Amino acid sequence: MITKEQIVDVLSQYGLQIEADKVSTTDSLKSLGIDSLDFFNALIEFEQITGKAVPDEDIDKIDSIDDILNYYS
Amino acid sequence: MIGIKSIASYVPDDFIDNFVQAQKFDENEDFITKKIGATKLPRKKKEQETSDIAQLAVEALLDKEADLKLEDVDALVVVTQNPDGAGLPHTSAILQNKLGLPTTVAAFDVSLGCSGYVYGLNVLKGFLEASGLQNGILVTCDPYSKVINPEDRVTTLLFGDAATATWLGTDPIFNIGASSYGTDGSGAKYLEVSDDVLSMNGRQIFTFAATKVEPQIKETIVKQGVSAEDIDLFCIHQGSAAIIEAISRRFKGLEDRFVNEMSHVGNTVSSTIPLLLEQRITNTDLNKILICGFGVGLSMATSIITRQH
Repeated sequence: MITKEQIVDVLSQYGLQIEADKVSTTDSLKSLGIDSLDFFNALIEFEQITGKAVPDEDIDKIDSIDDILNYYS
Repeated sequence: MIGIKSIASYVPDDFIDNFVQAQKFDENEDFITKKIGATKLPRKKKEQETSDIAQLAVEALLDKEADLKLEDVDALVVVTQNPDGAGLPHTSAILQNKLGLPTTVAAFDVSLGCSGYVYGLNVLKGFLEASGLQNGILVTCDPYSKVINPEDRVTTLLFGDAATATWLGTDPIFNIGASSYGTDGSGAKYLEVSDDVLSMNGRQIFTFAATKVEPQIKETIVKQGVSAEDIDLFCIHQGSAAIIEAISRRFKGLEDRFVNEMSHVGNTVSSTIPLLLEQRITNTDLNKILICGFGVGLSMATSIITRQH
Protein backbone atom coordinates (compact mmCIF):
# COMPACT_ATOMS: atom_id res chain seq x y z
CA MET A 1 0.00 0.00 0.00
CA ILE A 2 1.02 3.55 -0.64
CA THR A 3 -0.89 6.78 -0.05
CA LYS A 4 -1.35 9.75 -2.33
CA GLU A 5 0.64 11.85 0.16
CA GLN A 6 3.57 9.43 0.03
CA ILE A 7 3.50 9.45 -3.77
CA VAL A 8 3.41 13.23 -3.97
CA ASP A 9 6.21 13.44 -1.41
CA VAL A 10 8.40 11.18 -3.54
CA LEU A 11 7.53 12.96 -6.78
CA SER A 12 8.34 16.29 -5.11
CA GLN A 13 11.93 15.07 -4.78
CA TYR A 14 12.08 14.06 -8.43
CA GLY A 15 10.88 16.71 -10.83
CA LEU A 16 7.33 17.55 -9.71
CA GLN A 17 6.61 20.99 -11.18
CA ILE A 18 3.27 21.64 -9.46
CA GLU A 19 2.53 22.57 -5.85
CA ALA A 20 1.68 19.44 -3.89
CA ASP A 21 -1.83 20.56 -2.93
CA LYS A 22 -2.71 21.36 -6.55
CA VAL A 23 -1.69 18.02 -8.02
CA SER A 24 -4.40 16.14 -9.88
CA THR A 25 -4.28 12.38 -9.49
CA THR A 26 -5.53 11.89 -13.04
CA ASP A 27 -2.96 14.07 -14.82
CA SER A 28 -0.22 12.29 -16.71
CA LEU A 29 3.10 12.14 -14.89
CA LYS A 30 4.72 13.93 -17.83
CA SER A 31 2.30 16.84 -17.48
CA LEU A 32 3.33 17.07 -13.81
CA GLY A 33 6.95 17.51 -14.91
CA ILE A 34 8.08 13.94 -14.29
CA ASP A 35 10.38 12.68 -17.05
CA SER A 36 11.50 9.10 -17.57
CA LEU A 37 14.57 9.42 -15.34
CA ASP A 38 12.56 11.07 -12.56
CA PHE A 39 10.16 8.14 -12.79
CA PHE A 40 13.00 5.60 -12.49
CA ASN A 41 14.11 7.36 -9.29
CA ALA A 42 10.54 7.40 -7.97
CA LEU A 43 10.06 3.69 -8.68
CA ILE A 44 13.05 2.88 -6.48
CA GLU A 45 11.45 4.85 -3.64
CA PHE A 46 8.02 3.28 -4.21
CA GLU A 47 9.59 -0.17 -4.01
CA GLN A 48 11.24 0.74 -0.69
CA ILE A 49 7.89 1.95 0.67
CA THR A 50 5.73 -0.93 -0.58
CA GLY A 51 8.20 -3.79 -0.89
CA LYS A 52 6.77 -4.40 -4.36
CA ALA A 53 8.88 -4.14 -7.50
CA VAL A 54 7.33 -3.11 -10.81
CA PRO A 55 8.38 -5.45 -13.61
CA ASP A 56 9.37 -3.84 -16.91
CA GLU A 57 6.24 -5.15 -18.64
CA ASP A 58 4.04 -3.16 -16.24
CA ILE A 59 5.80 0.17 -16.62
CA ASP A 60 3.57 1.35 -19.44
CA LYS A 61 0.49 0.78 -17.25
CA ILE A 62 1.56 3.61 -14.94
CA ASP A 63 0.93 7.11 -16.28
CA SER A 64 -0.72 9.02 -13.39
CA ILE A 65 -0.89 9.13 -9.61
CA ASP A 66 -4.14 7.17 -9.77
CA ASP A 67 -2.31 4.49 -11.76
CA ILE A 68 0.34 4.33 -9.03
CA LEU A 69 -2.31 4.07 -6.31
CA ASN A 70 -4.11 1.31 -8.21
CA TYR A 71 -0.91 -0.59 -8.96
CA TYR A 72 0.16 -0.80 -5.32
CA SER A 73 -3.35 -1.25 -3.86
CA MET B 1 55.10 -0.37 -5.78
CA ILE B 2 53.32 0.08 -9.11
CA GLY B 3 50.81 2.91 -9.45
CA ILE B 4 49.56 5.68 -11.72
CA LYS B 5 52.30 7.92 -13.12
CA SER B 6 50.53 9.86 -15.86
CA ILE B 7 47.38 9.98 -17.98
CA ALA B 8 46.67 11.35 -21.46
CA SER B 9 43.75 11.15 -23.81
CA TYR B 10 42.40 11.62 -27.29
CA VAL B 11 38.95 13.09 -27.82
CA PRO B 12 37.84 13.42 -31.46
CA ASP B 13 37.14 16.95 -32.75
CA ASP B 14 34.03 15.86 -34.62
CA PHE B 15 30.90 15.70 -32.49
CA ILE B 16 27.13 15.38 -32.47
CA ASP B 17 25.16 18.33 -31.11
CA ASN B 18 22.93 16.77 -28.48
CA PHE B 19 20.44 19.65 -28.55
CA VAL B 20 19.79 18.88 -32.20
CA GLN B 21 19.33 15.21 -31.33
CA ALA B 22 16.99 16.20 -28.50
CA GLN B 23 14.62 17.94 -30.91
CA LYS B 24 14.34 14.74 -32.92
CA PHE B 25 13.17 12.91 -29.81
CA ASP B 26 10.94 15.73 -28.52
CA GLU B 27 13.15 16.29 -25.47
CA ASN B 28 13.86 19.78 -24.08
CA GLU B 29 17.21 21.41 -23.33
CA ASP B 30 16.79 20.87 -19.58
CA PHE B 31 16.57 17.14 -20.11
CA ILE B 32 19.84 17.21 -22.06
CA THR B 33 21.76 19.40 -19.61
CA LYS B 34 20.32 18.20 -16.29
CA LYS B 35 19.48 14.53 -16.91
CA ILE B 36 21.69 13.34 -19.76
CA GLY B 37 24.49 15.77 -18.87
CA ALA B 38 26.07 15.97 -22.31
CA THR B 39 25.60 18.71 -24.87
CA LYS B 40 28.24 17.31 -27.22
CA LEU B 41 29.06 13.72 -28.13
CA PRO B 42 32.47 13.30 -29.82
CA ARG B 43 32.59 10.96 -32.79
CA LYS B 44 35.60 9.30 -34.37
CA LYS B 45 35.74 9.33 -38.12
CA LYS B 46 34.05 6.37 -39.74
CA GLU B 47 37.30 5.17 -41.27
CA GLN B 48 39.15 5.25 -37.93
CA GLU B 49 39.49 1.93 -36.19
CA THR B 50 39.53 1.47 -32.42
CA SER B 51 43.30 1.02 -32.50
CA ASP B 52 43.67 4.28 -34.44
CA ILE B 53 42.18 6.43 -31.70
CA ALA B 54 43.92 4.32 -29.05
CA GLN B 55 47.18 5.09 -30.85
CA LEU B 56 46.46 8.82 -30.67
CA ALA B 57 45.90 8.58 -26.91
CA VAL B 58 49.15 6.67 -26.35
CA GLU B 59 51.06 9.09 -28.56
CA ALA B 60 49.66 11.95 -26.47
CA LEU B 61 51.01 10.17 -23.39
CA LEU B 62 54.44 9.69 -24.97
CA ASP B 63 54.51 13.37 -26.01
CA LYS B 64 53.63 14.41 -22.47
CA GLU B 65 56.13 12.15 -20.72
CA ALA B 66 59.65 12.47 -22.09
CA ASP B 67 60.79 9.88 -19.54
CA LEU B 68 58.59 7.20 -21.06
CA LYS B 69 60.32 5.68 -24.08
CA LEU B 70 58.78 3.14 -26.40
CA GLU B 71 61.54 0.67 -25.61
CA ASP B 72 60.78 0.93 -21.89
CA VAL B 73 57.19 -0.26 -22.20
CA ASP B 74 56.85 -3.79 -20.83
CA ALA B 75 53.10 -4.29 -21.09
CA LEU B 76 50.17 -2.89 -23.04
CA VAL B 77 46.56 -3.53 -22.02
CA VAL B 78 43.56 -2.36 -24.04
CA VAL B 79 40.16 -2.22 -22.37
CA THR B 80 37.49 -2.45 -25.05
CA GLN B 81 34.35 -4.28 -26.13
CA ASN B 82 34.41 -2.64 -29.55
CA PRO B 83 37.74 -3.92 -30.82
CA ASP B 84 39.23 -3.67 -34.30
CA GLY B 85 37.41 -5.80 -36.84
CA ALA B 86 35.70 -8.76 -35.22
CA GLY B 87 38.05 -8.84 -32.24
CA LEU B 88 40.46 -11.43 -33.59
CA PRO B 89 43.32 -10.67 -33.38
CA HIS B 90 43.25 -8.67 -30.16
CA THR B 91 43.40 -4.91 -30.58
CA SER B 92 46.41 -4.59 -28.27
CA ALA B 93 48.52 -6.61 -30.74
CA ILE B 94 47.46 -4.32 -33.59
CA LEU B 95 48.22 -1.31 -31.40
CA GLN B 96 51.67 -2.68 -30.47
CA ASN B 97 52.57 -2.70 -34.15
CA LYS B 98 51.12 0.73 -34.92
CA LEU B 99 53.01 2.28 -32.01
CA GLY B 100 56.25 0.48 -32.81
CA LEU B 101 56.50 -1.01 -29.34
CA PRO B 102 59.18 -3.69 -28.89
CA THR B 103 58.10 -7.23 -29.77
CA THR B 104 59.08 -8.25 -26.25
CA VAL B 105 56.04 -6.36 -24.92
CA ALA B 106 53.21 -8.24 -23.21
CA ALA B 107 49.92 -7.18 -24.81
CA PHE B 108 46.39 -8.28 -24.13
CA ASP B 109 42.83 -6.97 -24.21
CA VAL B 110 40.40 -6.83 -21.32
CA SER B 111 36.73 -7.18 -22.26
CA LEU B 112 34.88 -4.89 -19.91
CA GLY B 113 32.76 -1.77 -20.32
CA CYS B 114 32.22 1.00 -17.81
CA SER B 115 33.93 -0.85 -14.94
CA GLY B 116 36.95 -1.49 -17.18
CA TYR B 117 39.29 1.27 -16.05
CA VAL B 118 39.21 0.27 -12.37
CA TYR B 119 39.59 -3.40 -13.28
CA GLY B 120 42.31 -2.55 -15.79
CA LEU B 121 44.38 -0.60 -13.27
CA ASN B 122 44.38 -3.52 -10.88
CA VAL B 123 44.94 -6.15 -13.58
CA LEU B 124 47.93 -4.31 -15.01
CA LYS B 125 49.37 -3.39 -11.62
CA GLY B 126 49.13 -7.03 -10.53
CA PHE B 127 50.57 -8.28 -13.82
CA LEU B 128 53.55 -5.94 -13.66
CA GLU B 129 54.30 -6.73 -10.02
CA ALA B 130 53.90 -10.49 -10.47
CA SER B 131 56.17 -10.47 -13.52
CA GLY B 132 58.81 -8.12 -12.13
CA LEU B 133 58.12 -5.57 -14.88
CA GLN B 134 58.44 -1.80 -14.59
CA ASN B 135 56.23 0.04 -17.06
CA GLY B 136 52.80 -0.62 -18.46
CA ILE B 137 50.29 1.35 -20.48
CA LEU B 138 46.58 0.91 -19.83
CA VAL B 139 44.43 2.02 -22.75
CA THR B 140 40.69 2.55 -22.60
CA CYS B 141 39.00 2.82 -25.97
CA ASP B 142 35.43 1.71 -26.53
CA PRO B 143 33.88 3.69 -29.40
CA TYR B 144 30.17 2.96 -29.06
CA SER B 145 29.52 4.92 -32.28
CA LYS B 146 30.31 1.60 -33.99
CA VAL B 147 27.16 0.03 -32.56
CA ILE B 148 24.74 2.89 -31.84
CA ASN B 149 21.49 3.11 -33.75
CA PRO B 150 20.95 6.89 -34.21
CA GLU B 151 17.19 6.32 -34.05
CA ASP B 152 17.38 4.76 -30.57
CA ARG B 153 16.76 7.59 -28.10
CA VAL B 154 17.90 5.52 -25.12
CA THR B 155 21.48 5.16 -26.34
CA THR B 156 22.11 7.79 -29.00
CA LEU B 157 21.79 10.70 -26.54
CA LEU B 158 24.35 9.26 -24.13
CA PHE B 159 27.54 7.89 -25.57
CA GLY B 160 30.65 9.66 -26.87
CA ASP B 161 33.89 8.34 -28.37
CA ALA B 162 37.25 8.85 -26.65
CA ALA B 163 40.44 7.02 -25.77
CA THR B 164 42.81 7.34 -22.83
CA ALA B 165 46.26 6.06 -21.95
CA THR B 166 47.51 5.63 -18.39
CA TRP B 167 51.15 5.00 -17.55
CA LEU B 168 51.59 2.59 -14.66
CA GLY B 169 55.01 2.21 -13.12
CA THR B 170 57.19 2.53 -10.04
CA ASP B 171 57.46 5.77 -8.05
CA PRO B 172 53.90 6.70 -9.01
CA ILE B 173 51.88 9.85 -8.37
CA PHE B 174 48.96 7.76 -7.14
CA ASN B 175 49.10 4.41 -5.37
CA ILE B 176 46.15 2.10 -5.92
CA GLY B 177 44.66 1.03 -2.61
CA ALA B 178 41.59 -0.85 -1.44
CA SER B 179 39.42 -2.23 -4.22
CA SER B 180 36.06 -3.96 -4.49
CA TYR B 181 34.37 -5.73 -7.37
CA GLY B 182 30.94 -7.01 -8.27
CA THR B 183 29.19 -8.89 -11.06
CA ASP B 184 25.54 -9.74 -11.68
CA GLY B 185 25.21 -11.55 -14.98
CA SER B 186 21.44 -11.87 -14.54
CA GLY B 187 21.38 -8.30 -15.87
CA ALA B 188 23.55 -9.01 -18.91
CA LYS B 189 20.60 -8.53 -21.27
CA TYR B 190 19.99 -4.99 -20.05
CA LEU B 191 22.99 -3.61 -21.96
CA GLU B 192 24.11 -5.67 -24.90
CA VAL B 193 25.02 -5.72 -28.56
CA SER B 194 22.94 -7.97 -30.75
CA ASP B 195 23.24 -8.10 -34.56
CA ASP B 196 25.85 -5.33 -34.28
CA VAL B 197 23.43 -2.90 -32.60
CA LEU B 198 23.57 -1.68 -28.99
CA SER B 199 20.43 -1.84 -26.88
CA MET B 200 19.94 -0.71 -23.30
CA ASN B 201 17.16 -1.09 -20.76
CA GLY B 202 17.60 2.37 -19.28
CA ARG B 203 15.42 1.72 -16.27
CA GLN B 204 17.29 -1.42 -15.22
CA ILE B 205 20.72 0.12 -15.72
CA PHE B 206 19.64 3.18 -13.77
CA THR B 207 18.23 1.09 -10.92
CA PHE B 208 21.40 -1.02 -10.78
CA ALA B 209 23.58 2.07 -10.52
CA ALA B 210 21.32 3.88 -8.07
CA THR B 211 21.02 0.96 -5.65
CA LYS B 212 24.20 -1.16 -5.95
CA VAL B 213 26.99 1.38 -6.28
CA GLU B 214 26.54 3.11 -2.93
CA PRO B 215 27.11 -0.08 -0.84
CA GLN B 216 30.23 -0.94 -2.83
CA ILE B 217 31.66 2.56 -2.38
CA LYS B 218 31.03 2.36 1.37
CA GLU B 219 32.54 -1.15 1.54
CA THR B 220 35.71 0.09 -0.18
CA ILE B 221 36.03 3.06 2.15
CA VAL B 222 35.83 0.70 5.13
CA LYS B 223 38.45 -1.59 3.53
CA GLN B 224 40.77 1.38 3.13
CA GLY B 225 40.35 2.16 6.83
CA VAL B 226 39.13 5.69 6.27
CA SER B 227 35.81 7.51 6.42
CA ALA B 228 33.81 8.99 3.54
CA GLU B 229 34.82 12.46 4.74
CA ASP B 230 38.46 11.53 4.12
CA ILE B 231 37.78 11.09 0.40
CA ASP B 232 38.66 14.36 -1.32
CA LEU B 233 36.89 13.53 -4.57
CA PHE B 234 34.56 10.89 -5.92
CA CYS B 235 35.35 10.30 -9.60
CA ILE B 236 32.58 7.89 -10.44
CA HIS B 237 31.68 6.70 -13.92
CA GLN B 238 29.98 9.48 -15.86
CA GLY B 239 27.03 7.39 -16.98
CA SER B 240 24.63 10.33 -17.10
CA ALA B 241 24.02 13.41 -14.99
CA ALA B 242 20.95 11.69 -13.53
CA ILE B 243 22.94 8.64 -12.44
CA ILE B 244 25.69 10.75 -10.86
CA GLU B 245 23.03 12.72 -8.98
CA ALA B 246 21.17 9.57 -7.89
CA ILE B 247 24.36 8.12 -6.40
CA SER B 248 25.71 11.32 -4.88
CA ARG B 249 22.45 12.07 -3.06
CA ARG B 250 23.09 8.89 -1.05
CA PHE B 251 26.16 10.55 0.49
CA LYS B 252 24.60 13.35 2.52
CA GLY B 253 26.85 16.36 2.95
CA LEU B 254 29.38 15.08 0.42
CA GLU B 255 27.38 15.59 -2.78
CA ASP B 256 29.69 18.39 -3.94
CA ARG B 257 32.65 16.02 -3.97
CA PHE B 258 31.08 13.93 -6.74
CA VAL B 259 32.40 15.09 -10.09
CA ASN B 260 29.93 15.74 -12.89
CA GLU B 261 32.03 16.65 -15.89
CA MET B 262 30.67 15.04 -19.00
CA SER B 263 29.03 17.93 -20.84
CA HIS B 264 31.48 17.93 -23.77
CA VAL B 265 32.20 14.22 -24.01
CA GLY B 266 29.15 12.26 -22.84
CA ASN B 267 29.43 8.74 -21.51
CA THR B 268 32.72 7.48 -22.92
CA VAL B 269 32.38 4.05 -21.25
CA SER B 270 35.71 2.95 -19.69
CA SER B 271 37.29 6.32 -20.54
CA THR B 272 35.13 8.48 -18.27
CA ILE B 273 37.20 8.00 -15.10
CA PRO B 274 40.67 8.49 -16.63
CA LEU B 275 39.37 11.62 -18.40
CA LEU B 276 38.46 13.01 -14.97
CA LEU B 277 41.76 11.96 -13.40
CA GLU B 278 43.79 13.42 -16.27
CA GLN B 279 42.49 16.89 -15.34
CA ARG B 280 43.31 16.44 -11.66
CA ILE B 281 46.50 14.42 -11.46
CA THR B 282 48.61 17.51 -10.74
CA ASN B 283 46.16 18.99 -8.23
CA THR B 284 47.98 18.38 -4.97
CA ASP B 285 44.92 19.38 -2.93
CA LEU B 286 43.46 16.01 -3.88
CA ASN B 287 45.10 13.28 -1.84
CA LYS B 288 42.51 10.54 -1.76
CA ILE B 289 40.28 9.96 -4.77
CA LEU B 290 37.68 7.24 -5.01
CA ILE B 291 37.12 5.86 -8.49
CA CYS B 292 34.13 3.68 -9.32
CA GLY B 293 32.98 2.20 -12.60
CA PHE B 294 29.70 0.38 -13.21
CA GLY B 295 27.59 -0.79 -16.09
CA VAL B 296 27.60 -3.49 -18.77
CA GLY B 297 27.73 -6.99 -17.33
CA LEU B 298 26.34 -5.97 -15.01
CA SER B 299 29.69 -5.17 -13.50
CA MET B 300 31.14 -2.70 -11.05
CA ALA B 301 34.52 -1.95 -9.51
CA THR B 302 35.76 0.61 -7.00
CA SER B 303 39.27 1.61 -5.89
CA ILE B 304 40.73 4.32 -3.73
CA ILE B 305 43.88 5.96 -5.05
CA THR B 306 46.21 7.93 -2.77
CA ARG B 307 48.66 10.63 -3.81
CA GLN B 308 52.35 9.94 -3.22
CA HIS B 309 53.67 13.12 -4.86
